[in-house]
Amino acid sequence: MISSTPEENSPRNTDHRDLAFLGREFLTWLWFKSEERNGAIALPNSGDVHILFLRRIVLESGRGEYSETVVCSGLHADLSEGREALRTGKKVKEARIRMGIGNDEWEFTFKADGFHFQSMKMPSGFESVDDEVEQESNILDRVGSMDLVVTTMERLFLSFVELRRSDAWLSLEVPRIKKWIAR
Amino acid sequence: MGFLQGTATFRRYRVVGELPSDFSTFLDRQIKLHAFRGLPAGPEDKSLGWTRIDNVLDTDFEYAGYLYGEYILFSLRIDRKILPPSLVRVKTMEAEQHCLREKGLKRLFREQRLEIKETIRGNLLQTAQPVPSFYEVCWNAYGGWLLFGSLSEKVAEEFEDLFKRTFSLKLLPFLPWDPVFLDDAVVRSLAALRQEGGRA
Repeated sequence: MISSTPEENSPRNTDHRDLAFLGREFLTWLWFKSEERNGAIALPNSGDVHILFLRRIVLESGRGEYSETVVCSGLHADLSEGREALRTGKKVKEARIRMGIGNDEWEFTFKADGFHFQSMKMPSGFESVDDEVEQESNILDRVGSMDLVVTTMERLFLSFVELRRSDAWLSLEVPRIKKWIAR
Repeated sequence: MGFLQGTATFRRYRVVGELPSDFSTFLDRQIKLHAFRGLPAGPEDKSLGWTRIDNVLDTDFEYAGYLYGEYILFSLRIDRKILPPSLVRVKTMEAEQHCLREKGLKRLFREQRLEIKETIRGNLLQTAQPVPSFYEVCWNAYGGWLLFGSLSEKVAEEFEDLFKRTFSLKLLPFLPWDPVFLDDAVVRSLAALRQEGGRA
């Protein structure tokens, strides 16, 4: 029998690929949270973030050649097929999301596996202008706003991780998620 | 051009490594040193370098034209000569037939065919026009993060490599589950969840 050394058990030896499953779990949980309180999700030490899943969700089970994918899309899709896919063990791989913070709204496709952002629409007021000084200030606002969305998604992820590793995950959250999936 | 206008597509990185004490001078020197220079005539099939974000033809970066407040914004330009595979195949077949006729042979060895193919590729690359692509970069040097405007893994690899050669700093993809940036206790409990096969 081969026993592992303390070094081998060290968390420092854990590869990020070993924890990559958390990306899809997070996005699946975020979909559930977005429908739980009408899209309002409380973040510690700040107000609510509003999350709405729109039009297009991609769900997948497995990876690579063994993967099975379901794409739910359509302007008036109620995404019920997505919930059906959750029942068969698939998790959300990417989704079109509308995020609201205060009076500002962003819309983007979030890809869970790489924490990537695609086709992000900025809040209104960030349109291009002719004046050079205003243009620079506009660019700074745009870039700052992109960073705000990334850090907000990161904070939502960390909040998910805290819940995921707590006892409340199995005792409270999982029953709620199961009820939501079965709806 | 998503960072300046329109919709934006991007991935985020953590920038790892210490900035030199004379960072402004270092940045100005290095970005100019690795600015886009164009593809020299010949069989080279790729050239890459930095350009200004607001004018991709400007590679002089005069008056620190990459500075926008606390951010450093510029573009990666990659020029690639792309040979259509069918063109290479047909030209190679023609050259092989010519070689057979000229030498009075019935067939060519594998090495001979490979040599002919390489010569054909080289000849075609001499005259092919490079196709330019541009990818935006937004770097917050003191914040230790960077946004890059492409989700292609191939382009990301080329970008990471050139960034490292230019600024001697490593880019790590921003994955909030990366154990390097989590507490040991959190990593331990998450790894345990994975071993259980997930409980959701």
